[in-house]
Formats: sequence, structure tokens, C-alpha cells
Amino acid sequence: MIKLTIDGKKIQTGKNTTILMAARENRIKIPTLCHHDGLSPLANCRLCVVEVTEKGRTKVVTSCNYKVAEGMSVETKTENIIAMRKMIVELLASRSPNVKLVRELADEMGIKDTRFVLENEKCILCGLCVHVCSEFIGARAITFSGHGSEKIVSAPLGSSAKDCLGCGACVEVCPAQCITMKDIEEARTYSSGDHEHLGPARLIHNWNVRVLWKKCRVCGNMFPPPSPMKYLKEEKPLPKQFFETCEKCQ
Amino acid sequence: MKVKSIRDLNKLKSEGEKLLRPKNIRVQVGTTPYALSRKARDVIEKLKKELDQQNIDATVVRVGCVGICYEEPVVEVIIPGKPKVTYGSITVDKVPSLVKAISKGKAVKKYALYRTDQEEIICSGKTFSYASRVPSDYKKIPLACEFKFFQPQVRIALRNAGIINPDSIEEYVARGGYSALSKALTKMTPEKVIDVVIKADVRGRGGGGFPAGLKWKTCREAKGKEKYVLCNCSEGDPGIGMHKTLIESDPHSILEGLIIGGYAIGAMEGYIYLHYGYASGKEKLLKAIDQANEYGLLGKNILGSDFSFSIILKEGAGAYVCGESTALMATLEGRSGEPRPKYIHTAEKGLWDCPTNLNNVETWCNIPPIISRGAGWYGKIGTKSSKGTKVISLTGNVNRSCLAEVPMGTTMKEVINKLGGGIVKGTKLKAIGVGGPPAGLLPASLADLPIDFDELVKAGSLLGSGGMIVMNDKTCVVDMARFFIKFLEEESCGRCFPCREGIKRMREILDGLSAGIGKDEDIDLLQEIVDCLSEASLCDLGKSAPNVVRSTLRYFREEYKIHIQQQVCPSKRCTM
Ligand SMILES: Cc1cc2nc3c(=O)[nH]c(=O)nc-3n(C[C@H](O)[C@H](O)[C@H](O)COP(=O)(O)O)c2cc1C
Ligand code: SF4
Ligand code: SF4
Ligand code: FES
Repeated sequence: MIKLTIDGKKIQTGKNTTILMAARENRIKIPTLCHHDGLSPLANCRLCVVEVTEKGRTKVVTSCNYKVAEGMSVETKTENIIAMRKMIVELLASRSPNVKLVRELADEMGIKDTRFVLENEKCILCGLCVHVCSEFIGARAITFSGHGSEKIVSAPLGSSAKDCLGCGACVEVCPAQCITMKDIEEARTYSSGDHEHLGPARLIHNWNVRVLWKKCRVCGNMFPPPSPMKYLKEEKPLPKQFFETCEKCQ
Repeated sequence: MKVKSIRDLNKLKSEGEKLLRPKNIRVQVGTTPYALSRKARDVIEKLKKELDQQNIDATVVRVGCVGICYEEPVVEVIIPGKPKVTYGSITVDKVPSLVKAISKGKAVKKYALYRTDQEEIICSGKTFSYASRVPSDYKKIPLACEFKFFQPQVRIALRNAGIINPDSIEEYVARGGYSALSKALTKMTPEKVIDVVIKADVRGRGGGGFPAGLKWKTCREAKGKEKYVLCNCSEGDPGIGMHKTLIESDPHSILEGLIIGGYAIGAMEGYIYLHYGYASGKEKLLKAIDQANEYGLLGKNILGSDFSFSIILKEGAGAYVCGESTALMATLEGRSGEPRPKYIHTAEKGLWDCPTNLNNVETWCNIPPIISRGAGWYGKIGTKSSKGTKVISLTGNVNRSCLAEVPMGTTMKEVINKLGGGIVKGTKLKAIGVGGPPAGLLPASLADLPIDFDELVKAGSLLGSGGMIVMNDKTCVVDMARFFIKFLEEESCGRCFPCREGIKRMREILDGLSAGIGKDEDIDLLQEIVDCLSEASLCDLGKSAPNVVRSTLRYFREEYKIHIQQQVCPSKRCTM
């Protein structure tokens, strides 16, 4: 066990725990946007910053990826930390004023107006969709492209995400709820004249894909792409051939 | 030929000496890309032709860069038994009269910049004498040490720049090259090498000034079978040519440093990370690596020891942020060049999660002389907390842009006046930007500050990679801040929120100020963004990006206020 203090409170926790986990175990709230319990930390949003004092030295770190250590003292709500979080949320609220979660965060922090020119981006670029797809699903169907303020998430090269399995994990993890997914009963080829009927399919608009139902490798019935969320939540790896097997035969 | 012992190395050395100081005349011409752009190639052709026609027994050699950019093409003439003479701004039409003088064993005073009677060989501490007696016509030419450009300089990293043919391993060895490697492999344990580097207190030249020895030690002690040493030649800063000069003038000094580092740390492989599309540097390095392999200074059982090491050259993606250590390693692994959060040091978990030690090129170039001559020698140069020298690339509103190496502790004023020949006529010094875009702008009143890692940080700037931009009173600091911030906005990888969104917003505010639509509140807002970014950003690009705004707000706040309140730009740079 490791002993440390968070906001003056004496705490014990296991080795390999992050500050964020230790804080949550003790009902100390630290805001996060790009953190997901089932995935390794991204540390992109920087909202979870805290002040850490170790061996007499104090520094600002992100709690989602900084491990606890014996004798460490953590402050999660200093003036400096609050000011930084507020600035990050204000910046975010200017980029994405219509994202519900962002609005809630701004309200919580007492930010009424932002002092920057308003934009209307639906995606906050937290990176969770790309991360879950690559780290947990293993499909690597979507990526970031561009850099700096031009950065976006999209299918590779902006075309269609041909490796997308249609599992919807990205939709589920997206804190901005900006990925739209729809099931249709009858997909067709796009050519004019005679349409070929392809059967039921799932569309994910952001990645420009249409994923057709598959035949189960066991029972042979057609089935929609299964949701991996149960496993992600329980932090268990996906079973083998998960996407080839219908829910009943799993 | 494989060099397997000190005796073999000495053989190579005497071959090199024959090249450096031949029985006939040696004419050397600087051929860096900048010299070539000023027609150095034509000068070489003309020299060869004239020397041939006049039946003079001479060899024309291409060398690297001495740093007197404003005098390129630079030609040096070594006539046996006479002082070496350095001529500046040699054009094709000046060649005939120069060759005529050479044929008579004379010097041409009107083209001459300075002469060298004797030269210290940095790696050995010995002095080489060109002439024991100086002929009277040579005496009229000033000595190198009287030449203003060299007065403040101590050239350790640039010890061979402009003196040797960079394609010749023999000439490098003749100047004491690879003797440090031989010393390390035969007389020192890896721990002892690290000990010397720690005692010498060399701090990283790539920007952070982190003590190299400590990093080496952590990496040596880190668990892992495979370890790597890397050399950062990324140089994404605009308009700075430091890495280029080192690579193109003396590639073997980088290799030797890296091999010694590999031995000390326990690595078997080293990577040199080169800026994308940098063909001339790539060619020089590849050639040097081939030579070192051929002579057994790289590869299996180096110099007959148990130590084996290879060096691989990798071309990077070219973005500025790829020079950041974790982004650099990601690029080497074939992933996109984005920084990663690093609470675990790359010395413990770096390239492919193996212990990895990254140093800047200039840091590596400093290693061989330190090993040869010891920490005590090195410690005498520089200041208390910043030892040694720093290569400085000087640009902006000075009379002469140049590249030079000065001991730490040299003041910025000395650099501007002695190396740069002062501020452009009729104007006054206003601000100095040290260390490229992420550094702060310091006011003229701080020109007496020494070049020193800690002093500059205290003043709100950074030594960074040593790029120094001098600005006169025609410069608008708001405009300058906007220029740097724009650069950083484009170069931010966009991964983390504060950097991506914050830099963009700073740019918008600065755009507003320089368009005459700034508001009183803008100053506080800028300050708030600065405070957030400098601590909350993921990597040092975002953390140091606000420096330019922070420093100008600190030293030039009035100018911001004039832009806002009177809607005028005192320097008439911003179009309102
Ligand atoms: C945005 C950014 C760009 C950088 N570019 C370079 C570079 O071009 N060359 C370099 O040597 N170091 C660069 N660095 C510093 C490196 O991350 C690293 O600290 C350095 O190479 C370590 O070597 P040193 O300790 O010998 O200085 C950069 C850092 C950042 C944050
Ligand atoms: S789409 Fe959603 S999950 Fe993906 S980066 Fe944007 S906000 Fe994050
Ligand atoms: S600070 Fe800037 S460059 Fe560094 S990771 Fe964040 S967005 Fe990328
Ligand atoms: S939750 Fe830690 S940086 Fe986003």
C-alpha cells in the first residue's frame, strides 16, 4: 500500500494507481474529459491537472496519468489549478458552445460568457474515439489528421473508414455525443438504374461508412455488429472472433 | 584498412596530417549551401584552372564553414612554412590576382581577413605552428585573434569547422579525432566515462539545458537489454543553421560523440534523426558513417575492443514539433510525430519502450574533447552553472549575420557588437530574442546579460538552441509576438487542448491588437492564457509557446497599451 495525502486527507491506495483513481476512491472530484476507465490515459484535455509535491518539489501534472507515490502530497483545488481548468473550459466553450457536457462544465465553474470568438465545432478532439478503436477494438479504423488548430478526427485520408467494424464503441465513448450512427433495413448499391439489395446495415456518418450485417460463424444467421461495451466497462479483453459471432452464439 | 589499435589510429593520423599540411600548397574553400549560393563552386573551378595554368603545385580542398557567412566565399591558403591566410568575399575575378600572389609565395593584403600563425588542436591541447617566422608582407595582415569575429570565440563544437575536409576521416583523425574514443575504450570503464561527463557538467544544447551526465547515468542504470542513443538534428526553428554547420563541417565529431555515448550507456545502436529533405547533410553523414564502418570505428569490435556499435541515419517528418524528444521517438518508430505524456523518463522507457538517451548534435560534438582533455579543462570554460561554450546563430538587424561559438558567460552585447558588427546603422537595439520562437524577447536594457542557461530563464527567456534574433527600434514587439505565435500555432501538433486552442486565441487577440481593434481587457486575457498554457500543456512546445507573449507583456507593456488605447503602432509596423 502507498500512503499519500490528497487535499490534506490521508489516503492509502495500491501501487500503480493514478492520482485520479486514488482521488475517486476517496470521493474527491477531479474533472476529466478524455479519460475512460477501460482505456490507457490519453492526457489530452489537461482538465484533470493537480499540484503534486514530491521530495520538496511542487509541480503541475495531469492526475489521469500520474502515478501515486509514497509520501506524495496532492492538491486538487488550489487557486492556480482552478484558474487553469477555467481557462481550458473557457477555450473549449468557445470552440464547442453547443456541446452539452461542455456547457455543464462551464456552468459548474461559473463561466457565463466566453471572451473569445465563438465557433461551433461539435467535436472537442478529446481523442477517445480514435483511442478506443485502436487500443481496445484493434481496428484502427479512424485517425487524427492535420495538426494544430486544423486537427480533425476522420476516416484515414478523409475517405471511408474501410476497417470500421460498425461496433459503435466510438459512439459510446464520445463525451460530446457528436458521432452519429444509424441502422437501416435495406442497404443498396449506389449505382443508378438497377439497385442491388445488400440487406440490413449500419451507418456511421462521421467515418463515412456503411457496415453490412454479417453471417454468424456458428449459427449462420445474419446479425448486426455486436456492441463491445460490456467488455470495455468490465475492463475485460474482447473474446476471440467476437465480431464474427452473433450475440446468441457468443 | 581496419583500425584495431592505437598504432593503426596513429597511422591514419599521419596520413591525415599529410593532407592537412601537405608539402605542396593547400587552398581550401568553404562549401556550405550558403557559400555555394554565393558562387563558391565557380570560385573553386576558377582556382583550379588558374593554378593549373600557372603550373602551381597546389591542392584545392572543399571544407565546411568557418562561420563568417557575410564573407562567403571564404578561401584559405596554406603555403608550407608560411602563416595560413583567410580571404573573404572571393569572387571569380579576384582569383587571378590571388593565384598570382600564391605563385610568388605572397599574400594579398586587400582581400585578406586575417592570418593564422599557429592553431590549438582542441582535442589534444597541442599547438600546431604554420610558420616559425612570419614574412614581412604577412605581418600587415591581422592575426586571427585580432580579428573581431574571433576575439570572443572559443571553438570546441566547431573545432574543425572550416579547417578540415568533412569527407575525410583522415583529416578528422589528424586533428585529434577518434582519440577520445580510443581513450574511452582502452583506458576507461563506461562508468568512468559517465563520471567525466557528470563532472564536466555538460548541459544539453538542444534547449532544456538538462545535465547530460545525469541523463546518461539514468539510462545506463535503467533495466533493459537493448538501449539506444539518439542524436537530435531536427532543427525546425526557422532561419537557424547550427545543426547544418556542425553536420556539414565536421560529421565525424557527431559520430565519435555518439559512439562514446553508446559505450558509456551500454547501447549497441545509435540513431541520428535528421530533418526531412536535408539532402546535403544526409550525404555528408552517410559518407562519414560508411568511412567509420570501413575503418572499424563503427561495427563489430571497435578498435579491437569488445564493444560493438552501429549508427543508423533516419530522416524525420520535418515538423518543428518532431524535434521534441517523445515526438522524435514516435517518428523513429514509424508512428505519427506527436508528443506523448512522459512522466516516465525516456531514459528509462523511450524508443520501443527501451531505455533511450537523446542528446542534441551540439551536445554530442562536445563529448570527444571532454573525454580527451578531462572535466577539469572543460570546467574552466564558461560560468558556474553553465559550463563550456554555446554555438550561436546570429540574425536580425545586425550588420553581419553569422554563426559562432562563444564561452558561456559572454554577454549578448558582446555577441551583437563583436560577432554581429553592431546594430544596423542609424538604428538602436530594442529587443533580443534568444532561442527561437519559444524564447522570450528581452529588452535592450538587458543586453548585458550573459549567455547562460539560468540567467536567461530568470529574465524570462531561454537559451534554447542558441538562435539569436536582434531587433532594432523599427521593430514592433506586438507584431513580433504575433509572428512567433503564428509560427507556433501552425506547428502545434494540436493534441492537447490548452496548446491547440490557447495559441490560436492568443494569435486572434494579437491580430486584433495589430489591427487597431484591441480592448483594454485583452492584456489580462493574454496573461491568463499564458499562465494556463505554460503549466497545463502536454509538451514543451505548448509550455514554452507563451514565453514570447509573457516576456513582451513584462518588458514592453506600454507598447501593448499604445496599440490599444491610441490605436497606433509606434513602430509603424502594424497596419491599422
Ligand atoms: C517543440 C520542440 C522542438 C524541439 N526541437 C529540437 C531540435 O530541433 N533540436 C534539438 O536538439 N532539440 C529540440 N528540442 C529539445 C528536445 O526535446 C530534447 O530536449 C533535446 O534534443 C535533448 O538533448 P540535449 O539534452 O542534448 O539538449 C525540441 C523540443 C521541443 C519541445
Ligand atoms: S468525435 Fe467525440 S470521441 Fe472523437 S475526438 Fe471528437 S469528441 Fe472525442
Ligand atoms: S503542447 Fe502543443 S505540441 Fe505539445 S502535445 Fe500539446 S498540442 Fe501538441
Ligand atoms: S482526463 Fe487527464 S488529461 Fe484529460
